[in-house]
Amino acid sequence: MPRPYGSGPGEHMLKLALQRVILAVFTLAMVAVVVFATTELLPGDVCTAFLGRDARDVERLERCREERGLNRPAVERFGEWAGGLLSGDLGTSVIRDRPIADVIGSRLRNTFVLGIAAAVVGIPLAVGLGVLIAIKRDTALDVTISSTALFAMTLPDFVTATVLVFIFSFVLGWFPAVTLINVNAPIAELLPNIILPIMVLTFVMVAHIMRLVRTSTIEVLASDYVQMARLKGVPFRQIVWRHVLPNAMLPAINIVALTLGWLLGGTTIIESIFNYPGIGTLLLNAISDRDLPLVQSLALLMALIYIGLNLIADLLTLALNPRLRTLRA
Amino acid sequence: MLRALLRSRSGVVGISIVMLHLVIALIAPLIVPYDPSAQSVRLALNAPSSQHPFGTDHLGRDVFTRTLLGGQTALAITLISASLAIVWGGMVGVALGFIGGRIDELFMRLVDALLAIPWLLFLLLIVSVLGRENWVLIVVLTFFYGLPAIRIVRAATLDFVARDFITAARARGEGTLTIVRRELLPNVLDVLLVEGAMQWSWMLLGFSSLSFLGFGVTPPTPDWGLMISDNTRTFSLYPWATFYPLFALSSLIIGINLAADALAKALGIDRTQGAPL
Amino acid sequence: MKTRTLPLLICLCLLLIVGVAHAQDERGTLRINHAMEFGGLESLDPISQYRFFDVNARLYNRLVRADAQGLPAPELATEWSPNDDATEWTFLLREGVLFHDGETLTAADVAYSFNRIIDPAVDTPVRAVLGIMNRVEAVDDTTVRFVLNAPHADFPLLLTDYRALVIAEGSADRIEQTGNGTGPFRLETLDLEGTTRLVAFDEYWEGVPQHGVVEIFPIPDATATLQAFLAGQIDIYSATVAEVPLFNQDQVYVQYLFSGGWEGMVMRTDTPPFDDVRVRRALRVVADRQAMLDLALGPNGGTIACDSPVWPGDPYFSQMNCPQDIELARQLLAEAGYADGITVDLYLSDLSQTWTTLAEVYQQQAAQAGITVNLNMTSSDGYWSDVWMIEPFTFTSWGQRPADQILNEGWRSGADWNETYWNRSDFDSLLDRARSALDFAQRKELYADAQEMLWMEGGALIPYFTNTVRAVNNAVTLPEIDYDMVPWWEVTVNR
Repeated sequence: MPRPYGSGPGEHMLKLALQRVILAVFTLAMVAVVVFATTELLPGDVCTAFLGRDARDVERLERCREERGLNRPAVERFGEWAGGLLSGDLGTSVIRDRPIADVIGSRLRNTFVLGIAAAVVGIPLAVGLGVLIAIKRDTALDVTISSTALFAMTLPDFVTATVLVFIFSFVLGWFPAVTLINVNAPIAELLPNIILPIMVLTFVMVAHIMRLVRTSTIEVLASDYVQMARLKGVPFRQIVWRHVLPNAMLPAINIVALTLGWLLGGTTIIESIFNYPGIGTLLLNAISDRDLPLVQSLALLMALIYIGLNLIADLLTLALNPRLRTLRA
Repeated sequence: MLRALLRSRSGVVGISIVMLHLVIALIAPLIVPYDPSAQSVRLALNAPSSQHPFGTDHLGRDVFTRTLLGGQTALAITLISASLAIVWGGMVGVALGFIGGRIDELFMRLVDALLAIPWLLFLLLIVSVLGRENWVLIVVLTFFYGLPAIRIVRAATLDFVARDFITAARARGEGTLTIVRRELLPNVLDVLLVEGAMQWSWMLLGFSSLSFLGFGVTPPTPDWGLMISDNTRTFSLYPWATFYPLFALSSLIIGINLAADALAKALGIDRTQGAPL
Repeated sequence: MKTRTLPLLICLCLLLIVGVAHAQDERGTLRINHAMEFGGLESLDPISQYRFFDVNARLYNRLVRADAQGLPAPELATEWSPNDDATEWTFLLREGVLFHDGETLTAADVAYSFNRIIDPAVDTPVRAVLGIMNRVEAVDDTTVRFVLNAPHADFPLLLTDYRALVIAEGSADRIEQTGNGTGPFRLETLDLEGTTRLVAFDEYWEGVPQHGVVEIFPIPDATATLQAFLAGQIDIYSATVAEVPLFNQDQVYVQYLFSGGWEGMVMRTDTPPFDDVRVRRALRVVADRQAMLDLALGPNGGTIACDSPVWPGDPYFSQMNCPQDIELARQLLAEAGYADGITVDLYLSDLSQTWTTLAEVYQQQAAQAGITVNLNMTSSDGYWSDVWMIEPFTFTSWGQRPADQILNEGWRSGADWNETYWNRSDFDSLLDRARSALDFAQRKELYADAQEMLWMEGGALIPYFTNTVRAVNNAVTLPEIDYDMVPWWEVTVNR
């Protein structure tokens, strides 16, 4: 907010950071309201969804709704849900008839394993390539990598997934095509299954980050202090490591946070194509079952991850970039 | 502006690709050799030939015809949605940036909240309940893609509000609406244009994913996303049925990206404020 | 290269360790998938509406199974006979059959299992099939008597239902955890969202199971299921004709099985314009069924039907002819007062991929007789509750059922799923007479009359029966029998 602050820089910083945290909590509360309201507005429910033809039997439909407590007023159910959330209780899945925390179980861990692994492979690759092609700007290398990345970005992820599965599972037989392991399997068992999904995710995300890093690197390279350092005869490699990389990374923090949010929030389509037992697959199943309490809690969980990561990115930017501290919140 | 845009080589390439697609979409019904839904058992999954330069699909429909026509719906829906998205996102963004204070704060939290929710989820829910009508898709796409626009435009507006000429206008006693219209909009328009172009390309890609999930265009309609998702499973056997629509979709998105990049450069806009995934 | 091979090596090593950890039965492991149809509510209770079909078929037995001709054959019962008017049926049980927990099967177990179906306190969809039972009594240890509410000469056929399975007396409240049955496999682990494992029950009465372990994985997504099969991760895949070329002949074989499932379009015979038999007939004779079959399912994808739901594999199937007849359709429409053509709204949803294709093909065919068909695509959510049996002209689909069952479930006046609102006492009387006729030839004639009546006057357009296309990994020998009836103990796995 364009609001002048009179206090000193250190205190000011803390105040700003605190403000961000409070805002994030407030946003999360809003997510809860919006998620609940939207899912409530939809006419279909878990009973019509799984009864199918039997839903014509009005008595059976009513009994089903009664059993699952769907007949109570929405406000009452929201109060119950929100109250439960505050005490850390995500509620009960109406179709699975189990606590939602239990249904999610290790799925959150699985999504994190996949997301973090993809980030560990993808983000450094993207940043490295971005800096590389910025240095080799307008050479054949730059054009080749840039256009390949642009092309990769335009492929729908399900196409990339299908093609990679064809090559690496059917033809070469290196990796399993889909994940067929227990939700609670140890991480070691997950590993062979996540290689193909990681490749697909990398394909999808590299282009965005790389293009951004390329732009900002070019700007930094053209900046006065880099020019000065070069004139002074500082080795180019050292300039890149010491000055270019850190400065070029700054604008990328936001998109990295966005990417991480996307990865950790469960990449629905990719998880589902690979039958990966993460929260993305669960969300898709919950939607098709119209298991609304589960949908609501998953949405909230994903929002929490997204908001949390953005908050971290904000605070990080704040800490790294002194200029921003004095500009606007 | 246009001249600046045309000075960049990639901008020219991008704009040409986009124009070509638009022209094809407009005149396709006049030039396609076959009825896009004419089926034939005999012709199913034939490789490209002189009669069917792009081959035929699993129902014996001509892939060339369907590829030419396949952009129409996607282009129309995404173009309308992208325009509406930047219009409503832009208006709200400008308003919030101008109003400031608690109202702005409250609304921005709402926008953040909506951005944080996996929107695909809501799209799926809404489309599966209200049906796959085109207007439903337009409403949903417009709404959700308008949100990032609010953020970006609001930021741009805040920059301008703090500047001297707005203060000067205020001092001259000009009304809020006049200031918005005369001073603010022309300045924010550039940001909006670039944002709109980017939204458009994201939407096209998102639209094809919807088809994959079974929530896109209704099947008889030729549509790239639908053609691709219908045929990816068998791409190793009948690559033509996937490749041509995929090429069409890809080239359009590349075209838009190149044009948007060039536009941003020409207008001097920093594109580092991330695009939504 | 280096970065990729290292993790790969680590993974392979881990895979080996994990592989060794699981004790392998040398008879081999059959790996199959389930689609999480009930979202994790799948139940081992055979009569639950969430019955876990793939598992239950291996854990339990029926009294009677259907043979290749669709006639009743012995399973847990060795012989059976009706009383004079077919209102009571007595079944003799096989001796020495063991449950997985070691108990011996007795008539009390059978009586208990079937009395549950008609117990008003139990909510089960199986009552729609076996509601005709009045009570079931254990006469002695190996004799069971079924007392019916009405005569039924084909009662043993009803017992071939895939859910009419036998559990131990008094086990209803534990059955969902134990899965204690008399079937060829017993439950080791039940994990609906992970791997469910069954192991061979070596004391199985029919013989020692030929494969040692069954693993059942949940794969809700259709594409993922296909990919799992193509990569050799699961052994059996229910395919479409179009997918067949994807299979590698060296690794997979394909079976085409006739089956009685069908899909079609139903008109409400109580609603104009479909209350006019001429309009109904016209709308049905415009169909070129071969073209519909070829385009919607592909060659070998099914068998032609003439608007009767009784399939060619059923002993009561009646052969009829139903060529496309545009002239007749025009003439009938003119007689009904639609000389200038008629416009009808056809409702469908994307519940089934073939509905859309079928609708488009029908639209083109009907146009030849001046019939304009408007396609109304509705949301798949709530299709069965809000569109089907409400709108006058809708799409439908049914699984395979024996003649008596499908005709009574779908066409008897007032039946819950009487989707054409077919209300004909002469038709009902045909069904009643067939049920009480103890002579097979006589029954066959009565059912043939019923089918003829549907073809001449009915409201359902049933263009074809859908074949089952099944792809199987070469390591597995699967007999060419309907999935419902496969004797799983005989299946071998050589890997």
